Amino acid sequence: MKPKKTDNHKPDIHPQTTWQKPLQLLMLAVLFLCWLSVGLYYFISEPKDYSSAERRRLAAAPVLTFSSIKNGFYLSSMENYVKDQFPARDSFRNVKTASSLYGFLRLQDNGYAIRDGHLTLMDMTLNDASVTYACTQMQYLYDTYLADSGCRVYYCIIPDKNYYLQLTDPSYPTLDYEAMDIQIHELLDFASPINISDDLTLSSFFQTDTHWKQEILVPAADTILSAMSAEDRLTSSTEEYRVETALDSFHGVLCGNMGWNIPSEPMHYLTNDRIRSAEASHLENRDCNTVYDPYYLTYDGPGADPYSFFLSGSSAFITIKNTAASPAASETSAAGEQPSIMQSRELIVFRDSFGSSIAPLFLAGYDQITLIDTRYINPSLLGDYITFTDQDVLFLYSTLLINSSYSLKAPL
Amino acid sequence: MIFSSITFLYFFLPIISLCYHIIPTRFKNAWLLMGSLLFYILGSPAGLPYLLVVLLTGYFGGLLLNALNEKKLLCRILFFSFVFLCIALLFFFKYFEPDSLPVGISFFTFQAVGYLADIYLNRQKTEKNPVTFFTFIIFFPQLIAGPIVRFQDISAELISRKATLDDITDGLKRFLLGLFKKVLVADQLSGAISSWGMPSTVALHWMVAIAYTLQIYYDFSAYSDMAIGMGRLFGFHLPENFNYPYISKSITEFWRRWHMTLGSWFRDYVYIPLGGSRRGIKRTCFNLLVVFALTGLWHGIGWQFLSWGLFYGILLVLEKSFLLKWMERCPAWIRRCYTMLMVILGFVIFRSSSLSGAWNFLQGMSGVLYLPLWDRNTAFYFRDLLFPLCLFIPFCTPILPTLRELSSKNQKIAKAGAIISIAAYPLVFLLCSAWIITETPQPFLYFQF
Repeated sequence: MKPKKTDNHKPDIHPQTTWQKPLQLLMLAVLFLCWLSVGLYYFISEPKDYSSAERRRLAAAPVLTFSSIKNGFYLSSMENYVKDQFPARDSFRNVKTASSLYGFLRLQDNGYAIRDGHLTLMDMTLNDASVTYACTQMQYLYDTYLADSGCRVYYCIIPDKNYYLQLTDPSYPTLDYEAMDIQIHELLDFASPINISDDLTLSSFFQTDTHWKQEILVPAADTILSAMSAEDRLTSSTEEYRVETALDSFHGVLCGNMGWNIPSEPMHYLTNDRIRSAEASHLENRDCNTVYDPYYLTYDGPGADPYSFFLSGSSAFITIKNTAASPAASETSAAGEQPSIMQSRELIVFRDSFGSSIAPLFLAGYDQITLIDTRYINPSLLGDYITFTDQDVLFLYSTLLINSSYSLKAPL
Repeated sequence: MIFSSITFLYFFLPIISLCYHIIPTRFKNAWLLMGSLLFYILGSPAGLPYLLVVLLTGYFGGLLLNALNEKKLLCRILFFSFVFLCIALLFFFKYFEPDSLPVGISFFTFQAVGYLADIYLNRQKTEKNPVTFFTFIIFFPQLIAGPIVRFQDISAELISRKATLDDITDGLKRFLLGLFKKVLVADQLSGAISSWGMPSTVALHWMVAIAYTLQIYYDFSAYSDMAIGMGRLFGFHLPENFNYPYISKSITEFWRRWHMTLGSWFRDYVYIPLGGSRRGIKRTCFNLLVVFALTGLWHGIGWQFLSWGLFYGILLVLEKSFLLKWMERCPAWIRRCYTMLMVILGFVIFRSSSLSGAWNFLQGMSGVLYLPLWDRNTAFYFRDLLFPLCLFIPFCTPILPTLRELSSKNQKIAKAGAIISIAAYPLVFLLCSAWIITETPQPFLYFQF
């Protein structure tokens, strides 16, 4: 029997319920689909072990053991694994960065910012301890190998792109480069400073990478060579270079770190007969013995970085021999002297990754260049591989490394 | 296990909740108990022995107190022995082993102690079914950081409950709201604060203090939202823990709106047994100081926590004595400013790792350290977080329920809102997933308590 309707009658069912129920079910269905599709993805898809975008190995599935559960390692490892293997991970990372920068209007995302068309890792604090540590390592090298060797010692600190961003926008926060400069100058009193900051601009750097572009480095190389050379030395500006393209589309390390892509740019390099014929030998006995290593332009595995095209990337100890007419010989021939009386000119560079792309330009002034990266070789062992005597020695480091220098190995 | 983790969101919760709704009713509690144990074993295996001690003490203690109900003295000795055992273990971990503190220890210990107290005071019948009792103590949605549930709050639902379609959808919505608050608000604020490092200007000290005040509210209330939402998903109605505390016009009101279940626990099991406000103003003030000193110590055995508790205790004493009457003559906005100022200062003490650290920070805020007022980095940090703050601050007020109430009066708007929510909630879920897979996992702040 139907209830009798009165003016005050309220239906048992709330009026909204009639249309709410299908909507509620629809929302549940959509959420359920999200769960199901992600869950199924994990079961169906083959786990990846490397991310090209992030240039890193992805976490592997943890093994379930009693001890891994007991110490809590299993859950944290599983979380890392499912995060790394999440479906469309790169797209989700893009969504995250977009929501941060354009949804919440943040000026940076996890320390990464987009400024003047450049991706950049912001670094606002001068790490005094790190600067001191870096200088202490250089002091050790000087005291151990260079003090009584007759070597001429120089240092050159490469400003990173944040330095040039603050020049265009004074409100852009950076570390105190001036204070860093003063601190280094005080600590490296055994070496002569070389300043290349005026030879670079923001456009000297890749938009998506921390590194500089080789094709714009001739003035900087020239400044360094001029500062180190005696009157009779050639400089890079007297060399003729051809600009060639190594890669049409270069996405630097900052794209992957930030989870954001901006239009790529080409990666060029400079070459001439001297550079082409130069012989590079690595302490690690690598296959490539040329200055440029095209293998890294297409390699897509662990450690992949197209910038490794320059001198095969990270390497502890590289010797580059100038097999073309020696710079000394060319200079003296031009002056009508006998080449045989000229000494071989040798440069030793203690460097970070920035040194890889500028080093070939030093071939204009030296017969042999030795590049040493003490992030990969302990400085105590250097005596086994090289004799320091009457060479030019250059400490060439970027502000990025100086401000975060603990990767430089301390002596044993 | 963190609620805002992929493991929990895409595996643990869906599997536990789907199976829960499929299995027969008589197995539901056992399923929840099993799921809760798995949740704890995976997330905090080292704390399991202590959890078992509390579970068994609570269960057998309840049975014994019930059996010996007539023997008052023995009953009293037993009750205080059980409470002493639980509190002593809690104190031991907090004071001697703070680095290996079992997750959620303060919460489930207080639930067990509250249960025993209710039986001892004959407010509550003993639960004889171990599955029901254990499910009450270690129900995973509120196991780690509350709300602190009393047995009588959910005893009926522990025996018989039904999760309707409304419960499930409302529960999921509440859960996703909490997830949003945790991942996109609290964790974003946390990341900003930690990236600022040691504040170098007066303004940055204030920015840290204000951002942390927002972070802790969003973080903790997010956990409560997620817990209450999951409770609804399983047919439980857990008590609310927050009621927009930052709109309070006095500290007295603030504590009625902040961490409400802890406040009511202390009121019922400490303040009232001490005499409450029935024994004159002096005794009331003393009782308030005791309660807030204990509230501080509940968070951790450290001078900063004790000072934080006493700071509020003293403010409440002052308000009770004369300040509230005096403030009634002031406009509401002045009272709100006063309350927020005290809350912000309180959280400076709370956040510090030591009392001297808190003192240094407060000095930095006051300007006596001769720090610059403002610099280029501070300006950048301020501009960086300005828009998020403009978004987050209004949602500390009841703006959402007000809007919801307004929209419910208009069928068309209500319908449009419901249609939008079909897409909005799954989108929120996916957006949170995007943030989770990118960021380092951030445990809830109250996990450490």
